[in-house]
Amino acid sequence: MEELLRLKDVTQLFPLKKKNVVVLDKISFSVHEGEFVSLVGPSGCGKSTLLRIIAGLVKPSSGSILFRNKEIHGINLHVSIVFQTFGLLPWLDVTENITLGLEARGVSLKERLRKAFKYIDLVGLEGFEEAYPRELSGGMKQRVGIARALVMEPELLLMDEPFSALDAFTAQNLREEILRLWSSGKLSLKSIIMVTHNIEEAIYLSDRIIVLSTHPGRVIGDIHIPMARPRDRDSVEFTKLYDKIYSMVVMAKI
Amino acid sequence: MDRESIHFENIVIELFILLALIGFAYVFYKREIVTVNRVANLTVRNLPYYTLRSLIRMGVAYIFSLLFSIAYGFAAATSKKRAAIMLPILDIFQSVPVLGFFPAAIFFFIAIVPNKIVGVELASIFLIFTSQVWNMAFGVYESLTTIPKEIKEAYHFFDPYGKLAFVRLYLPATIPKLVYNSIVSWSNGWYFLVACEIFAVGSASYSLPGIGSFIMESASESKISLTLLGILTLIVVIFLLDLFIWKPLSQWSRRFRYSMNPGEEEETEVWGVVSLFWEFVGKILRSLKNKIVKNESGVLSFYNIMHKVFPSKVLYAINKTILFATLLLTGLLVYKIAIVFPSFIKTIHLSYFLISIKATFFSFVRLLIAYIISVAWTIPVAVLMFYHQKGARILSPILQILASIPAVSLFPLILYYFIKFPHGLDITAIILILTGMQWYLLFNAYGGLKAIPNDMKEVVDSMGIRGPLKFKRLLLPASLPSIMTGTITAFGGGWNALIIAEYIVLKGKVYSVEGIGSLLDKSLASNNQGLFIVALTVMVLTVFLINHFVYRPLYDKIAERFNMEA
Repeated sequence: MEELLRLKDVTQLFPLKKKNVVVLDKISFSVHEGEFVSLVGPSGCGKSTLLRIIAGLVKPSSGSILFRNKEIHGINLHVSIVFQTFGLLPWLDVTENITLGLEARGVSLKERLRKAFKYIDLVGLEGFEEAYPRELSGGMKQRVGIARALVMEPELLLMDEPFSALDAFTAQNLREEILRLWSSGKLSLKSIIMVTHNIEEAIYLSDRIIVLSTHPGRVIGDIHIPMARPRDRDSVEFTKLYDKIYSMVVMAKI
Repeated sequence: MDRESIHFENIVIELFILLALIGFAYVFYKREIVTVNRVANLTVRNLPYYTLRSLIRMGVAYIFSLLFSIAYGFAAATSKKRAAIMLPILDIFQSVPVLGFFPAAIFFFIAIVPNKIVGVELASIFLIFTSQVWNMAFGVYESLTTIPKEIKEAYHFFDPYGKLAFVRLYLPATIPKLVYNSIVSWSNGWYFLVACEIFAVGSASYSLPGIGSFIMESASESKISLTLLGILTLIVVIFLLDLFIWKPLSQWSRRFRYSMNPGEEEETEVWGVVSLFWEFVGKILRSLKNKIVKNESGVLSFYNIMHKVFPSKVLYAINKTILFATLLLTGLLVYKIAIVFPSFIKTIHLSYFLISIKATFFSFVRLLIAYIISVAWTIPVAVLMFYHQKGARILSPILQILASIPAVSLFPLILYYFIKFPHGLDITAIILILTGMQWYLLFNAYGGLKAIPNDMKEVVDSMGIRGPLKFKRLLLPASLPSIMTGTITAFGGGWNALIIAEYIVLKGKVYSVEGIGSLLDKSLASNNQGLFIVALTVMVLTVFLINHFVYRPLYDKIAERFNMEA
């Protein structure tokens, strides 16, 4: 499969009390088409920052981001992002929130609505088109967040702990939903990168897990998950992988 | 930079602004007796006309305040450099008794406008504007700087060039605070409106026709039924505005808030008639909009409009021009001050300072007495209301209406009854200050009590803690930050009240008590420029020093120790 994204020596410094703390230290890896990659690591390892660097929301102190072999400066227009706490605008209804990015790019109202309804349908938000975020449950809010990201028809989807602000039951529902969408072939999506601190979730969903250490954040593991979907959490293979990654993360803290 | 040095820098900047203000007052000090068309026809028939005059004054000032506050708040929130100078300006104007600068403002506007009536009219609008705008501008600044990080990030990601940022992000984000602060600003505005209309500049008679001057004139001519009618009209107008504008607006503004914790704020009740009225207005507006706006995409884009009307180079030029003009005006003011400074020094005697300090002391004692009386009745009432929720629900709206009466409008009435007594004006002044102070304390204390989290109350109740111990351990500490906020606001209102309350001209006869307010007026009446400026300086500096060295440290300490959010 073709290479979609490449990170080259991405380093991020953070000024703290007149000293620069190295948050990310020369992070390099590639993501290929068709891959679902999870970034896992202890809290404070800069995995969310790394995701924002890939999105172009944060400029790295040094290093570069290549998308299909072209260096990216500023917001990466081929990717889209789903936020942990949704980041919905409370004064816009579901449709308006979803089409915000299209509106900003000057897409006509008719076209905006056509696309919005397609993705509202896909993520299961029918009947909530005119609801305001405050009228929705957490799970529904994140569906809006996902639809808002997908409507931009990105090749790469970034998800920043997308299920951690939800209760366990809702989170599992939404995970299944994501897998269903991912395998449905109805999306323009080529790859997904997800940040999570939930190892089980990472193994359940992804094809590949990149483990980061903390202080400074470095890539300390790159593990392929060869299991077929749907995955059984109680299988020996699953548990072995879990123990392996868990010990890596625990070691990474020290 | 650490907090201490920022604090120090702020003090320096604020002192400079104060000096500039006093310089302004000095440069535009010109004694000129102005007689403007005053309330001539004291009849019931003319009351609607005078009320309308006042309303227009308020409306014009408010529109200016709204536009200015959005521009100011936005400018301050989008650049740290600008904020460093713009925030201290906010602080000063919010705390300094602006009424003291009213004479200077009148002279200024008369100097630049050929028509004297228009000049005074503009001065009053300007003063109402200054009483409204800072609070709103601060609201805009605060809402823009507190947009949740992830919302900002998400917005920026989906609109990387910020083409719709103004209408889709910034403007909506300011609405809840802007509406809330507008309500506060309007009651400030009413206060100043009436104050402008009944203010005595020296012995010069100027008077703007309006509801305030109607009340004042009728009281001074002993037509008490007209005075009461005037006050009643004012209350009705304020009540209707609240019912038809502010209540629906604050209801509407709730949809612009980020989160809504249940019970965080009481649902404002909007009457059926009122919502019908607004639905009707909304329909008309929408059909108008649909007629005008055919091409929907890009119409709402502030960015597009701005860039169509002003290409970026022009915008840049405008930006620089504003900066240049500000510098030029400041320079001009400094130059003018420098020119008149030597002659100013000659007009000053050391004794002026002593007189001013003594007067300020007397005024401060008046403030303190009013404050103590306020605390003595408002805290117990707030606690009673807290314990008896049912009673509070009935009492609360009544108190709110009472509080919405601008205290100064009662001044003529109170004056009418107390002026005959020995120390009559003293009593009047204290009552006036009291009416201006007590509501802030009451509503803040009650608000603080109501905000006590349920689980905290339950813990205390479950341990059987009641009575004085509950007050000491839970109610007082929990509401102390709010009480402190109320105290600061109350004193701010008190200083302004002093300025009109200590000196009054009734039918050509002057009544005055010793104090800083009357000193300002007396120095104007006797055309003593040096004394006027010294008195103004002493008063402004006193307020400034109290703010910086009493309120703020105290507030910080209380907030740190007793804040709910641990």
